[in-house]
Amino acid sequence: MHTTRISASAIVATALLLSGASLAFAQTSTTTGTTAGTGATSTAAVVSAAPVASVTTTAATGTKSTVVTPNTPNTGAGGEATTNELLLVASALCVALGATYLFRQRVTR
Amino acid sequence: MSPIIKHTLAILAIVAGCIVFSVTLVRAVWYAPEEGVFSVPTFFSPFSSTTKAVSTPDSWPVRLSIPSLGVAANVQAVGVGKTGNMAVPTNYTDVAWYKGGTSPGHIGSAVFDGHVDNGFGLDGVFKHLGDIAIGAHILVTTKDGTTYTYGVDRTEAYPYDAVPTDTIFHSDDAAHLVIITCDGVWISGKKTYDHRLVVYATLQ
Repeated sequence: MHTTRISASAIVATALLLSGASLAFAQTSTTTGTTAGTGATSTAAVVSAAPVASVTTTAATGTKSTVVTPNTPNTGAGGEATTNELLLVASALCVALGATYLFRQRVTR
Repeated sequence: MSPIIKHTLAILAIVAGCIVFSVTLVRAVWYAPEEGVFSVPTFFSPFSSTTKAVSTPDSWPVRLSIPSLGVAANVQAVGVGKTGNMAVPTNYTDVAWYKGGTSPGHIGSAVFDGHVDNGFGLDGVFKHLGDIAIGAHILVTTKDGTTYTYGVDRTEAYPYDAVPTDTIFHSDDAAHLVIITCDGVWISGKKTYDHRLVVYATLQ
C-alpha cells in the first residue's frame, strides 16, 4: 500500500514534469511587435516573415542608400512571473518526490 | 510495478526536475538572447548624408547612466531580431544600443532599450524610467572614453502597435538620444506589455 502510494506520486510527478517541460520550451518563442511600421493600421501581433519592419532604398545621383527601420523592442517579461514560479515549484516537487523515494528505498534495505 | 521501474522513474523525476528548474531560473533571471539576430548593414541616411557619421567601433557606447534614477549600466550593441524588432539586451541589467542607427554625439537618433522587469517581475534596468524628470541628464560613454550628456526633452507612452518608429529612429535635426522600454499592462496572449515608454533627449 505504502509502495503503491509512492509509485502513484512518482507517476503524477513525472506527468507534471513533462507538462512543465513543454511549457518551459514553449516560452522560448515569442510573438511580439507588428509587421507594420509607423502610421500603419494596427494589426494583431504575428511573427514577421521578414527580418526587418521596413526597408527603403532610394537612388539619388547614382548613390544608393538603404534605411532600416526596425519595430520597437519587447522589453519586459514580468507577466510570465506566475508561470515561471509554478514551473519552479513543480520541478522542485518532482525532485523532492524522487529523492524521498530513493532515500526511503535506501533506508529500508 | 517492479522496483526497477519505480527506481528509474524516481531518478528520471530528479534529473528532469533539475533541468526544468535550472532552465526556468536562468531564463527568468538572465533572459535568453533572441535567435536569428540579423546584423544591420552599414548604410548612409538619405536624409542627412552630409552630416550623419558612419559609426565606428570606437564610437560605440559602452556605458549609460541616469544619475537621477541611479541607473548605471553596460551597453550591448544590437541589431534587428528575427521578428523585425530592435533586439534587446541579453540580460535584465544591461542596456542595448541599436547599432544600425546613430552613435552617441552625432546628428541623428541614438536609440537604446532595456528591460522593465525580469521573468519574476523583479526590477529591470529601466523599471523606474517613467519617473525621469524633464531636463534630467543621461550620460553615455563611448569606447574611446568620450562622455556625452543628454537632457531629457519629453517622455511619451504609446500603444505597443502604434509607436512612431520613423520619429524614433530617424530624427536628423540634432543629436538625439531615445530610450525605449515596456510599460502598461501585460498581454498574456502576445507575451508583451501593451505600451512602450519612450524618453526623448537632446545632446547638451
